[in-house]
Amino acid sequence: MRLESGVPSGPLADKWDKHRAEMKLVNPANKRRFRIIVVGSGLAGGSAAASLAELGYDVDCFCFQDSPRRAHSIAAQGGINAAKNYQNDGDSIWRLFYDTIKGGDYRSREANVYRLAQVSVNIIDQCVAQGVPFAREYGGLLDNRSFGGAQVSRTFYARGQTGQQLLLGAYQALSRQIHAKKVTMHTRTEMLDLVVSGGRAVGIITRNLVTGEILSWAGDAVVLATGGYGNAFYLSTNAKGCNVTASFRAYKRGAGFANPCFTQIHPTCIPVSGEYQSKLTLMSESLRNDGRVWVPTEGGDQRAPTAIPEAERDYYLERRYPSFGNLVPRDVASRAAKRVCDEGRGVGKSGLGVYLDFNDAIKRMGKDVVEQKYGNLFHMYQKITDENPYATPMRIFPAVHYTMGGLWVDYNLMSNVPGLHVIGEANFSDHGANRLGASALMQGLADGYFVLPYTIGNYLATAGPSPVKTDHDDFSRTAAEVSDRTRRLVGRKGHRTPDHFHRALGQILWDHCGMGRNSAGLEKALKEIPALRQEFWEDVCVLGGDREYNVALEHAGRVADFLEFGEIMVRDALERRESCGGHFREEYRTSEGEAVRDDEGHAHAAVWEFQGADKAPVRHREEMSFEFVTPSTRSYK
Amino acid sequence: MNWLVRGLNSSIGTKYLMAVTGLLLLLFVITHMVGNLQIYLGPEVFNGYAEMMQGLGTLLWAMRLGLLLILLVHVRCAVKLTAEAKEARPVPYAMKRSVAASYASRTMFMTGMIVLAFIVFHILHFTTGTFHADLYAEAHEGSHPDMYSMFVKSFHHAPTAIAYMTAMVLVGIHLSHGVSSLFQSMGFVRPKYREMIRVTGLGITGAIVAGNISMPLMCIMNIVEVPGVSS
Amino acid sequence: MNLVLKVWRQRNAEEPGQLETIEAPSINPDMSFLEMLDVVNERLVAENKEPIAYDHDCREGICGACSLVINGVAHGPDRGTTTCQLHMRRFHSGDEIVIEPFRARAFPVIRDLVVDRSSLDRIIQSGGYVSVSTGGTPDANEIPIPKRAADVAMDAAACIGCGACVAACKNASAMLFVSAKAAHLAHIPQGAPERLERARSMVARMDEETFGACTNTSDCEAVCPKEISIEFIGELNRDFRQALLAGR
Repeated sequence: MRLESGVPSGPLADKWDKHRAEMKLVNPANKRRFRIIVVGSGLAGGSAAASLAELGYDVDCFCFQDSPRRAHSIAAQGGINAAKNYQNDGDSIWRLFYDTIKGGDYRSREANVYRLAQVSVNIIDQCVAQGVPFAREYGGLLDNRSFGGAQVSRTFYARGQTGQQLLLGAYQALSRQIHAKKVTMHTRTEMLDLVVSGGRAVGIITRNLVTGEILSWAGDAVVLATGGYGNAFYLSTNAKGCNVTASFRAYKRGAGFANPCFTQIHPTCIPVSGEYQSKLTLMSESLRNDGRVWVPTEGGDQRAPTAIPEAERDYYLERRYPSFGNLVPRDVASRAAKRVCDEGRGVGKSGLGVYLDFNDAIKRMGKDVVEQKYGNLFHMYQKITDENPYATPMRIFPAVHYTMGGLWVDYNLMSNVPGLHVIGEANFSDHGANRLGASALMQGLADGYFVLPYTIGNYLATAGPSPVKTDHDDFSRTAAEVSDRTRRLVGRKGHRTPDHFHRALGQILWDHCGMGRNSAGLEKALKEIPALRQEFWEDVCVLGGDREYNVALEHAGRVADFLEFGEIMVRDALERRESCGGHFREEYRTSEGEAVRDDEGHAHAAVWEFQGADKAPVRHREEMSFEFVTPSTRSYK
Repeated sequence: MNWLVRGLNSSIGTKYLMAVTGLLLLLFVITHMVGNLQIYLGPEVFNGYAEMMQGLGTLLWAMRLGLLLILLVHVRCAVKLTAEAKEARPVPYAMKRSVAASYASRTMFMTGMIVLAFIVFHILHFTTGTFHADLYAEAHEGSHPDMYSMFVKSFHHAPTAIAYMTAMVLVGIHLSHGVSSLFQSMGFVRPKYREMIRVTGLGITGAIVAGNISMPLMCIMNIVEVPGVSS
Repeated sequence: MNLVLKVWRQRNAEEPGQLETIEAPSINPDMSFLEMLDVVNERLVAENKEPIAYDHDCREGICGACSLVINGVAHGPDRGTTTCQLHMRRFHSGDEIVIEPFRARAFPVIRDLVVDRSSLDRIIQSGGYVSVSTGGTPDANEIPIPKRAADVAMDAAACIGCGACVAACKNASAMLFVSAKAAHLAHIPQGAPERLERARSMVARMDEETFGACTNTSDCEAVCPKEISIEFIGELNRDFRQALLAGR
């Protein structure tokens, strides 16, 4: 497998400009001769499809939801980072770059991250021009808030619904292009395979979720913007429909999968309340701006939180990390919560929770101000838990939230399969081993609005139009394999629902490949997952037909892929013998319990190559060299 | 002109026509009531008013035609909106609850149709003299028509009075939604006026109902009487 | 708690549907409404019966996918709440719960409780955007926007496009949805240049999609999970009037 990052030479700050100047262009009149397939319509896919169509390309855009407006980007609450330095607090492109690469625990590519910081400023301009109603000061200028892992205020937000507003901006741009007939939108359509012909990605195979029809689509380039694989854990903050299928199918067609063990556990979610639980709900990280995290100093303290005196409370984040306090990065906050719960000091019925207390904030700012800032989140918390967070501290616990790993891409966001581009959460490039808050929205939009539209032109100008149409053998063969697989699943009269196996897989991954990992647990998981997979194919129940709207069939297909993919996550976690970012190997830690990174042996992206069914995949490396920053031990003390 | 027809035929255009004609009809109802309330000023004033109206001649007919036209547009819009609403939901709910919509807002078509029937009845009564023909003939015996007597005697007839009062309750229900709704349809709204418009609408409605009901009520209670005739 | 569900079952758009009675015993009151349906579905599958199809995705009240009419009210009895955020503690043991899809000619049933709401997308496509392409935009702080204007725009922009307004309206009107989008863009300077044209084109598309007309009953506002105000409908009426009279 050839893993050439293609990072341009020269000073960090000039790389992107230089590259843009050197890339080939497609003549405006020729652009309409190219057809680009975009899978996914979230921040990355939606913005890419719209921008590519504006440039003149013909675009086919696919999403499994009933509308592109429902992609899960919509659920992002907190905000989007940009190095605008509107607050005059010393922010700069360099500082955003540095915070991001440090926050990612030095496992991401310098040049990509720097470019991300550079284009971040354009994103805000673009979104404002689209009519995104960002929060404003009384003088009419944009407001900012601070977020975990940074000491400047650079996060732009629209109440607690920033993701929604940014997505609606991209959706509106996309809608405009649909109206102009430059984008053909295919909703309730799921990508089930990638078609590779002559070593080049030339199209996809889809299933229409309403009619069950399996169709082939040819394009001159394919863009995957299909999000992350957090739902491998079953319980996560992802939407129920989020899945790994598109990425995983691409992996099986030769695309390298990078760092699958890098998953982010978000520290502020509402704890699990029962076994029927279908998903976890995130409370925006912005709550940590004013809320204080604590547990009782003694384990087994059964008193109501309001009855516990100050002296018997352990504000453990403030104690352990005095300079960042409650605003430490997500991985650090999550692990600290796990640690106090492991010590038996967790709160709530399950003992898996810590308090997030707004009592001091209410005293300091008044209830009205707190309500203004966080009212919708408090309301949501009360709806779900039936507890009033104004009167009693919230209970929070970490939950799977985001996946830093993803398909490997080069500087041009193209995978090792020529023509296959991967953007947004689906790729691995920018967040290393841990993502900072408010950076996912930034990356999705950077990729879609300001990076891919340039780099894909370079590919098309170099590679030319695809010679292969849907009548080609490679299409019919791939489509036949997809139909075959669908038929293998449909009509299975086992005893268990796909959901049952999904839960079981999630439990294995959470136990052994979650917040803390060790070789014994990972080895155990490597045995349990194949066994579960076998049980799935023997005992799954999928009623109904394949030529109709069939939720069970949809779900079964996705679970089948998770069952294979979960194993790669575990393998990757086992092979990465260090602790970094969201990947915490219990064997590699200081006496104080902090992560110990191994820059000598593991400063690389691990890229997995599929070798065929029932064969172990091969692990490749892309070394992460740091020319401009010196990796240091992350300290938030 | 095509743009105007198309615009007025759209959903909002139809509502706009509905609102404008509704407003004109409301103004007429108010004027009509004020005219009739002169019943309390005695036969001379009231009959003078009636004679003045009759004396308008062509102008009266122009006003009648105008009113008819406005009413037809109002009814036509109502029929169109109701038919479209029916088409917009071909399969009805097995169970449907209104959370906020008032009874009046949900029954506008029904109350409107009953009020329309009442208008026909009202014209047959006072304008053409088809209903209570004897009283009508009696009123027109002299050189000057005695509409005052006809008015009062008609309402001494209890069923007539009750019919009129019932109709006024329906007019009230219709207007309780209609008056505030027409501001919304015409787009004259500001958040801070919302409550004011609602209260004003109810106030106007209340005044119209009270004023109009008072007349048959006063007659039937013999508080308003024809001079020299005891009932 | 033990419940009796009366659920609309319909195999596809062509075949007629009917209410089916399904027992739902031992339901935990802390479950969300959709988790209750998950449990019911698991049990149905165990009996070799096909599960109930319903739309859902984020389960945190923001994607707008979930769309049930519960006991005659879109999104159920709680105000300002989507179906996915409704919890079973709101009901009592022994309750009978009628569950129907969002009904409108513009929302044809796909299966059971799943409806096709692409008509709403087509309204946005007809003009629910600012005509600006990627790149070349001025600095974000170049045009100051009064906080009040931005706040009102955000109030309108909070719409999740679920279509509950249509489902609740006795006329199956989409005016709250359309006016929310129009108002979001009309209240900020970037959207102002196209305000009248947007009102005209979106209303035309709305009418083509066979939604009914608004008769100001305000049931839409009452069921809206984001509690969007019908004042925006008044504003759209105004903009449409201006567009009609000022048009060339």
